[in-house]
Amino acid sequence: MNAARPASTRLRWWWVVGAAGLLVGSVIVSLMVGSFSIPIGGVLGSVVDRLPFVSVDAGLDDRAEAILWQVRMPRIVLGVIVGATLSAAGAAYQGVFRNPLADPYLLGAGAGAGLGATLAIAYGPDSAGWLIDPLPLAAFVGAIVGVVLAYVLGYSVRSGRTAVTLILAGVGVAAFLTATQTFLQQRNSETLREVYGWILGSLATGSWADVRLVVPYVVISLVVVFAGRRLMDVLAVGDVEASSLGVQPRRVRLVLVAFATLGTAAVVAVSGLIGFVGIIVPHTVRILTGASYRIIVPLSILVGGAFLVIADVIARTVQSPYEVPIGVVTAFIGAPFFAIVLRTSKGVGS
Amino acid sequence: MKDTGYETLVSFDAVTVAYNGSPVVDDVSFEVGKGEWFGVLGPNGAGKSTLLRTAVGGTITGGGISIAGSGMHAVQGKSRAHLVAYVPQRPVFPIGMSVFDYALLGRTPHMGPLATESRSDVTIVWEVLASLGLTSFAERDVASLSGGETQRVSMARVLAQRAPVLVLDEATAALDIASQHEVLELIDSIRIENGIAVVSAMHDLTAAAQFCDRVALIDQGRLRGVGSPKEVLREDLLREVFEPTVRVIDIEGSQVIVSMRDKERR
Repeated sequence: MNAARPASTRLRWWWVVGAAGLLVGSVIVSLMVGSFSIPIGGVLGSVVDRLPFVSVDAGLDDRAEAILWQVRMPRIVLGVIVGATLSAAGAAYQGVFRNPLADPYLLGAGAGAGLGATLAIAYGPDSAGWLIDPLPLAAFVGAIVGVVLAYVLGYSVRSGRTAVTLILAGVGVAAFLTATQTFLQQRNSETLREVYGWILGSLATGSWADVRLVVPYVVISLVVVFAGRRLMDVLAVGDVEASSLGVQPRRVRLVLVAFATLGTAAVVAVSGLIGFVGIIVPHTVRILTGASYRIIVPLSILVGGAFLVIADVIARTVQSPYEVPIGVVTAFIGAPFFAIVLRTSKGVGS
Repeated sequence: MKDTGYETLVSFDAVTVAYNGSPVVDDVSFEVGKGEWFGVLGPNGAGKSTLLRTAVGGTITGGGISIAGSGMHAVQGKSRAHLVAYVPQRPVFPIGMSVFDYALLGRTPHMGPLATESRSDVTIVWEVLASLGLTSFAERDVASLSGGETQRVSMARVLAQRAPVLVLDEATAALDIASQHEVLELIDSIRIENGIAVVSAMHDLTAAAQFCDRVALIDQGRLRGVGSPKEVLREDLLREVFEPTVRVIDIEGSQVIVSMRDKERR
C-alpha cells in the first residue's frame, strides 16, 4: 500500500527552494544597494572570505567593508528575523483563532508595546551610559502585558470560553492600551515625533547588538510555532472535534499564542510596530500553495524574511537620503501585491 | 427482530448535564454492546446532542460513562480518542483542506503531540479512502464536496481513528432520501466489518427502526424508553413525546413512522 501522501498535499521541494532563493536573492540585492553601492562580486567575495578555511580577496576597501558588515548586514539580518517572526506569528494567530484577519497584534501585543515605548520615551530617564536600553525592554514588557491582560480577561468570562471571547477581550484590551498611549503621547507632545516614528517601525538603527538581543526569543518562538503547525490543522475543524481527536484546543491555543507573542514582543522591541507583514505573508503563501499549516508555517518564515528585506530596501532608497517608514512600505507595496495574488488565484484547491 | 446479545462496551450511568442548575440531560442510563447500533431519538432540543457530547469530553455534571470497563473521568484526551470517534451534527470542513488531510486528522490521537504523520498513518488513510471508494477524491478540497460526499469523508476520518466506538450526531441531516440511505448502509457495513459500536442521534424515526438494534427515546432530557425499535417506537409513546397525530404503520415487518395532517385541513 502507498505510504506517501498525495503530491498536491506535500510541501514541495521547489517551493522551499524558491522561497529560500527569494530570501537569499533579496539579501544580496539589499547588501548591494544604498547611497554607497557595492558590486555583487564584492558582496559575495566578502561573505565567502568570512567563511572558515576560505580566503578570497573581495576587492573592497575598508570603508566598503565597514558599510557592508557594520551597517547593512546587521540591519538586513534583523530585517530577515523581524519579517520571519511576524509572518510565523501571524500564521500561528490565524491558525489558533481560525480567523483570517488575525495578526500578531490581535490580542494587544502591538498596543501594549506602543504604550511601553511611549512611557519609555516620554518618562524614561536619559539612558546614555545605561547597561540596558529601556526602550526595547519597555516595549517587550508592554507587548507581553497586553496579551496576558487579554488572556486573563478572556478566561474570566464564565460562559463560552471560546476563541471568539478571547479575541473580543483582546480588542478591548488593545483599545484601552491605545487610548492610554494616545493620551500620554498628547500630554508629552515634545516626544510626539519620536513616538510616532517608533510606532511606524524602522530597521534603521538595527545593530548586531539588536540581533543578539532578539535571537534567543525568536528561535524559541519559531521552533514552537513550527512544531505546532500540524496541531493548527487539527484546530481548523473546531474545538469540539479537535478535542474528540484528543487535542486540548485551549491548551494548544495558549502555548502557541504565548510563544508567538514572545517572538513578536522581541522583534517589536527592536523594530517598532511594523504592520501588515503578519497578515499578508501567510495569506499569500496560503493562496499560492494550500491551506495546510504544515506548508504555510515554514514557507511564511522564508517569504516573510524576504518580504521585509525587500520593503526595507525600498524604504531606504526611494527617498534617499531620507527614509520612508518601513510600515508604510509594507502596506504600500504589500496591499497591491496582495490584491494581484487574490485576483489571479483560482481559489485554493478548486 | 435483531438479536441483541452483544457484550457491553459502553455504559451511560445516570448521566446528567445541567447548566446553571437546570438539567438538559437528566439521569439517563443505557448500555451499548460491541458492534451494536444504538439510536438516540427524540424531538429537537430533547438533549440528544448534549448527551452524545458527554462521551467525547463534553460537560457532564452527574453520573458517568464507562467505555471498555474504564470510567471516562479516568480516560481523557488522547486515550479517550483511541476509544471514541465523533462526528458532530455539522462538521467543519475547512476551505482548502484536501480529503486526504481531512481523513488524516483521524490519526491525530496516534501521533505524538508535536510529531507529524508516520508512514503507517499514511498507509491507513489510503486503506480507509480505498474502502470508501474515495481514492480518486484524495486531493479534492473538502469544502467543494456534495452533501453525500462529505458524509463519506467524515466516515473516512473516523475510520482512520480506529476507535471501537463511533458517536454520530445526526449523520444524515440535510441529505436527500437516497443519499441518507446510502450513508446509513455505509455506516452499517462499517460497523459489521469492524465490530464498531455506533451510538447515533437520529431524526428520522423510520430509518432508526430499520437500522438500529436498539434505541433510546429522550424527551426534555429524560429517558422515556429504551429497547428494540419495536418496543420503543409505539404509537402511544410517540404521541406523548412528539404530537398526537403520529401514526406507526407496518411495511414488510418494519415500522414506518409518519405524522398525519389533520383531516379537515388536508
